[in-house]
Amino acid sequence: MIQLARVWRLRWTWTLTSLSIAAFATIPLIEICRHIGRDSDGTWQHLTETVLAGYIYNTTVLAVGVSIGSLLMGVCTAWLVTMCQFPGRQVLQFALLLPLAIPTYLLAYAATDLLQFSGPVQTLIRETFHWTKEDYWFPNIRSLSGAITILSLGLYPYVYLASRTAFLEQSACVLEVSRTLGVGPWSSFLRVALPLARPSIVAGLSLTVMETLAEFGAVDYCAVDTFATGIYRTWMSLGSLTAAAQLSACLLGAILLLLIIESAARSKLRFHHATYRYRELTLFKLRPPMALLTLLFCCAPVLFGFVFPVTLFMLKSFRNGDERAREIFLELGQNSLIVAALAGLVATFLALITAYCRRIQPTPAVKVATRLSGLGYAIPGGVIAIGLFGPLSWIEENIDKGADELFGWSPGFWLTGTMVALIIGYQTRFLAVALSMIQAGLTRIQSTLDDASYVLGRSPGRTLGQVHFPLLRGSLLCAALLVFVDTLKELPITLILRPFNFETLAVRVYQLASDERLDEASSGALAIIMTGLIPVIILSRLMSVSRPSLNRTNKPLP
Amino acid sequence: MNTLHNQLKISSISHSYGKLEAVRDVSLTIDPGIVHCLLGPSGSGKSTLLRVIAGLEQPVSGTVTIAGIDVNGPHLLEKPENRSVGFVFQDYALFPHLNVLRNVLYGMPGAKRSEQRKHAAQLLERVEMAGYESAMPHTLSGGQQQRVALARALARKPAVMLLDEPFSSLDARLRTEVRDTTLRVLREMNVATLLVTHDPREAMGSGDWISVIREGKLIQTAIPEDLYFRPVDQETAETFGTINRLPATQHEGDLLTPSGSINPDTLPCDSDGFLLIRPELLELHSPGNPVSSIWTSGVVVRVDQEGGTNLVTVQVKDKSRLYARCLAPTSWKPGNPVQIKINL
Repeated sequence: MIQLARVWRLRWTWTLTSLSIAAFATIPLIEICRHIGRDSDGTWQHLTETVLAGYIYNTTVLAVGVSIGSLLMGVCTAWLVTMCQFPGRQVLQFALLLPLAIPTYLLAYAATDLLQFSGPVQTLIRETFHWTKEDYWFPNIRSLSGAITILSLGLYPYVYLASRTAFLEQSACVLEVSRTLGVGPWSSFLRVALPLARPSIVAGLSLTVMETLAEFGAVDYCAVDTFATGIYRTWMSLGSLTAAAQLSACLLGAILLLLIIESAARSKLRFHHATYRYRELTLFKLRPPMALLTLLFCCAPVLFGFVFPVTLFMLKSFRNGDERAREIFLELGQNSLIVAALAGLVATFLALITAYCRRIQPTPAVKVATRLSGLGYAIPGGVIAIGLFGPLSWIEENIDKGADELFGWSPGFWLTGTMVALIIGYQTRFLAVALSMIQAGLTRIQSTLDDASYVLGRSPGRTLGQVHFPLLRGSLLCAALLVFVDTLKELPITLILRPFNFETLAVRVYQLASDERLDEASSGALAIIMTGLIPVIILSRLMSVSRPSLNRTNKPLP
Repeated sequence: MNTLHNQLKISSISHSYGKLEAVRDVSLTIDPGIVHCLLGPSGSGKSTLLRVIAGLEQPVSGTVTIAGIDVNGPHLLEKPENRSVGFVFQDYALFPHLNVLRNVLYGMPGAKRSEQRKHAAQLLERVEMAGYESAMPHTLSGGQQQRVALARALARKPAVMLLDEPFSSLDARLRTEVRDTTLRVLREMNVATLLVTHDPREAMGSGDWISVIREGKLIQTAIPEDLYFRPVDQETAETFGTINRLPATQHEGDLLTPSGSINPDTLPCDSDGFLLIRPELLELHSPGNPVSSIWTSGVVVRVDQEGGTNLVTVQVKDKSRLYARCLAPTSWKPGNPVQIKINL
């Protein structure tokens, strides 16, 4: 009996840990749902009468617009870079990922600065043609179409990444068969390559749409009222948690619908490679005029999405960054680093436990728990912050009250008044990032290694420490880095859950830019972009190893 | 640990994955120093049985006794890490981040580092891998990896060794060599060994005992010779090669077959009442030869070259065909009349 008890305790420790992590991750969702039927003292009625229709319209148009834009840019560039031979191809296949390094709100600031009336572009036009304000029309970047353009530029790399990986995985055999059947290269693309890549493209696109729905900074700056900005304003300006939660519920409903559509679209579209022969693609050689056109087409997203904004921030930083601003940014940088590093470490730790538990105890409960833990990435930051605020305050109050009664001492605002609430918020949002990275790493470790370790006298816990941990080092580092960078540029959660007077780099840059003081924000923006390059490098490395190779050995991952 | 008690005993083990019954009521006893082969096609439940013995799966019912200690029972489940079991996996499962020595040291009990190292060196010597201590697993060949895996499994001085198709990924020439080394070491160390394989020739060549398993059930457990010449059913018989299958009926103490009668004491019938005779047991004679107790006669219709032997197909009285195996080269040609004698 003693033995049996030990075995069961072992199982329960892992299962319970995994379940409690999942429970914590779902708190915001439950909190939001709790508010659905509540009375918001007329705020909700006020919202439905005034702005709700606008929110729905803007959010829908934005999502559709960004989808079209990122599909055009992402899929076409991926195909050209994978299939065609033209100068600059080698550099471009990685450079096309670069816009990912820039948070979309920085892209918006840069675009506005460049294209506004007093900006360099319009000034140049006026000086060349000796025009005045009334002589020409210029698109206004602070508009819905401007927001669509900016978000498409910033988010197309998700589609690019997904479609390029899919194109690379397709064996050349399939395409060559199509060519021998008398179908031309462009037709082959439309009739074979594209349909085969569709599941991956759908996945990349859904990520883009999810980011669009959650987008706060850029949309706010472009003065487009969407659900994400509405939630923030309802809470910050109108002070109604219930109405903000109700808006969040609407947004969550839309996201749920999206997820259902995506999984339905993907389950019908699962293809298995019928041929196990993988052949390197023979690149399609382009003649000079076509090659030049292709080069221009593929360069454009990189130039507009990365090179121009970064150059702008650099010039501004070198020209106008004063000593005092640098000092402040140094201090804020420290804040940001501490918060982001903590968030990265905690997320990696929690994700490792969740993923490992999923591996050794794949019971239905644990499977569901793992799914729930990764749900946060689909939920906009603002929604998470709104959903966490109530429960955290409640916990804080009750512990405070209890401690006061028992010990005559009260711990005060130890949750919402400190970084703890912030870290919890980041976990809910970014645990999925770490989780998917670590789960991918774990699947590369054969399950017989676990068995071998047990049979050689190690418990699951010690096996994790002695076998999986050393083998996973690369994945763990990647996971921590990705969460670190995501946290560093995060806006809505930080704005809502940060302790009083606590600022991060992203928050300060956002505030300065909102006050049209972009010169002062440029150093901070550059710092955010530079750290944002880290995950891009990781992604491009992952992309180059995802190519199938015939004789892969059990080499330890670096 | 008393090596006399290195015995593995499993009784009435059943296990299922959901609705799929993987193992049904299997009982086996393996004595110390004995290599017992578990032979069956893929999906027959043989690997599941190994995992149950090692404690990696919890069986639905039945008991496992290792070295006299119950490790699995109605109220008992010993964790795999506390069982005296060694396990060599099909893919060897060497830890890719540890070198050969540290792989071997991984499961080694004992307090003193120096003693552990000495023991590890002895084990590596034993499996003929001395000198490779600092090599990383991915630099070794398949055969070398297999031997390191064996040394690693032996490091805990297990009472029972479980081998899951350990030779299947080696090429044919290397396989015999590695197999001989492995089984010699295991016999020397007086370990009860259960070797799982789907290759009948491997089972014949390495097992002291062989159990045939199909669809989770043990069909027959016997020494190799009995399994070959006295299989319990046709499927088991055909696993090991060509066999003559004749309908037989009991008559006044004799077995009547279309070709003649046979004493049932010498060759039993299978479960369906058919007589199964290996081609090796049939002796061919020219009709003129004065041979006692001729069973039947017929005409050679075909001679197949098998290398060292020839398989001669003979058509007998009732148009049915019999197979006889004789040493090559043979003088039989299609069309020759022959007399057949059962040689026991």
